[in-house]
Amino acid sequence: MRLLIIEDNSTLRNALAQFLREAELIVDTAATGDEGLWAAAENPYDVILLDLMLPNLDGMDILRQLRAKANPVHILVISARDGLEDRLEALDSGADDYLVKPFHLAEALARVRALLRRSYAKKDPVLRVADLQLDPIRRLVRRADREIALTALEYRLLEYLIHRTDEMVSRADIWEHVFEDSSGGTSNSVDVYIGYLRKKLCAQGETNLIHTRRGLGYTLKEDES
Amino acid sequence: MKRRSIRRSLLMRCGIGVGVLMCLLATGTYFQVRSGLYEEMDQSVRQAAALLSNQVEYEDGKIIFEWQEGTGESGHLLSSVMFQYWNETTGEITRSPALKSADLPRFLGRNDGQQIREIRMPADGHQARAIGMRVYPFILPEEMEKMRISGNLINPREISHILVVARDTTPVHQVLSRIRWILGSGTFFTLLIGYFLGEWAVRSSLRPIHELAHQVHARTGNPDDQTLKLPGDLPSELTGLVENFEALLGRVAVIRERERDFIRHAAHELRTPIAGLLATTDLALSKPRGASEYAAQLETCGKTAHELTELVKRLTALSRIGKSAPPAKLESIDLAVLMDDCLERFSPAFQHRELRLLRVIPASPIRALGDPALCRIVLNNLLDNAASYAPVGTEIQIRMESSNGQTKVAISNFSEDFPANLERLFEPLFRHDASRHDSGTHLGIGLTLSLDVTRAMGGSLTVSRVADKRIEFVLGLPSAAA
Repeated sequence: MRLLIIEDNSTLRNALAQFLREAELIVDTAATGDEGLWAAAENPYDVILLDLMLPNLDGMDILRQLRAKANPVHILVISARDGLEDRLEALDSGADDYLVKPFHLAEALARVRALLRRSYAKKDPVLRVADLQLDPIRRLVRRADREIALTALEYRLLEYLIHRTDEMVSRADIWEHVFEDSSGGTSNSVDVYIGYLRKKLCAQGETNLIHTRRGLGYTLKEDES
Repeated sequence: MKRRSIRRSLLMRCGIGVGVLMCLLATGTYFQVRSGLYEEMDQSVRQAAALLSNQVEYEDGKIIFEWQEGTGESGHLLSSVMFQYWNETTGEITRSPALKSADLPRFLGRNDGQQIREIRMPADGHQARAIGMRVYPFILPEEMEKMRISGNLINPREISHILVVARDTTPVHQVLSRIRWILGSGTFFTLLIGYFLGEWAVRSSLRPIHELAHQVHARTGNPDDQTLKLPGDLPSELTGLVENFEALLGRVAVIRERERDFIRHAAHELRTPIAGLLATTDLALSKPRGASEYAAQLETCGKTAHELTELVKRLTALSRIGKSAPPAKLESIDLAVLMDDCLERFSPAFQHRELRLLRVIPASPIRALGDPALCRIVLNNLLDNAASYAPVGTEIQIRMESSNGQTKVAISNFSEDFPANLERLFEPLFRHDASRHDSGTHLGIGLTLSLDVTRAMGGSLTVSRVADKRIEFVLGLPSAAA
């Protein structure tokens, strides 16, 4: 899951980014309004955390410009403006949620997760496919009663695939949403990590859930039919 | 503390005024009537005396009083008076019958003239008006002829008489007493009725004030800054008061709005660093970490605490705006040198935002009278604003000049949006745009402080629009001798 934080206060931006990264999310940051708008327009983010009062370009303008271009990204506004009119204006302008500063990072993460679930039409906080369960809050992965230990990247990959259960997910999508720019990998890395993940999920002979679509990508689903 | 009552004051003043007027009128009327009655009384006494003086006749060698023979048409006049004659030659006394044996006081006016005076009647002691005069007997021509023939010619002046005629003034006093009662009771009842009418008039006149007070009272419980719902028939005397009150409330509303702005902005400015602080502590506590990580996070917390301290200092400075500034220590300053110092500090910010600097400064020193520390505050604020609000890649112009005893420093920059009323830029906490143009703590107090300290130095700070959508601040200070 790839997020963008557009926030001019470096302390808050850095702390928020680190916390979300530690929650196995890919996080990009922008310190100014114009920089944030450019990043949001150029990259397929799942969620944007957007401050309203920004240098160079106001957060409300960013919100309106993204929605005017039919950008479907989920936007969580984080603002020190706590007035009802401010919240109504932001929500009416296309924000999906509104969080007033100061806030606890845990709440910000919970709201991000809620938006991610909404992105992929999930309501259960524990993501399930057949006997595979992924608990994003406790960051636990189980296959039936077996707990599976995954690396951070494998976890992000599985979470992304579970969010898009039954959908055909291209390698490019996986690369953009799961891999950090600084990871230094290539597109083959996607195949490699898919292989690692398959191996861990089927370590005790369980049914394979990650299916390859040649030349297209991968699908996570219960039955291959 | 007991308050002075307008109603009571009006009643008292009107009462005293009307009372004094009524008393004066009554007294004047009384004395006018009294004077008239006495005049009439004196006139009747004079008439009686004139009549009686003509009724003394010398005939056949003796004095004859005609009234004793029948007074004729004058009977009524003579019956209302008492009189007495004194023969100055023989000392013989002749009295009116009513006097019986009593004597009237004997008197004359100066130089044997007439005199009217107040006397007491000998019989009953009543007050009376009396006239004293000298009279000479009348001698008929036939009697004169007889005296001439007999060679015994008598000069009437040798047989003079003193006549005193008195008239009882009791009826006049009774009339005057009645008039006094009528005037006194009339004045009293007039004042009494006047009091009730005045009370009614004052109450009805003061009713709009009560209604206004009710409106004001009702408004005190209303949190909104609404205007008063004035009664349609508001008297003109209250219109000015209401207008001034409305103006006062307007000013209060502006102050309240500024306070609300202050609280809103202060809360907003505090929220972001607090959010950073909270986020950093949340992050530190979210899982066990190494010492170096904790140290980094604590350092961040410390940095944020310093930011908050700086912010609180600015807020404290804001609370001081409007209070009298300490007297500035004026001395000769080279503003060009001071400007160079300040520009050095902002050089990185200008470079970061690719701002070009155009300086138009004369070669000779630009000396002005000012406080170096205060001038530095003003220049720093103006440069800070230019560095923050000028669009990236634009030009900032700095001009300095001295003329007519004034030294001016003008700093202008391109600005895409500024308020219609530029003077608002000097208002505390005023920030025109919704977005912050830089990430610093621009709280909207820098220009307010700059204006305050400029005035403390006896200078001026103005803002205006100049060509090409530029905004220009001009600091004016008295020139100093080179």
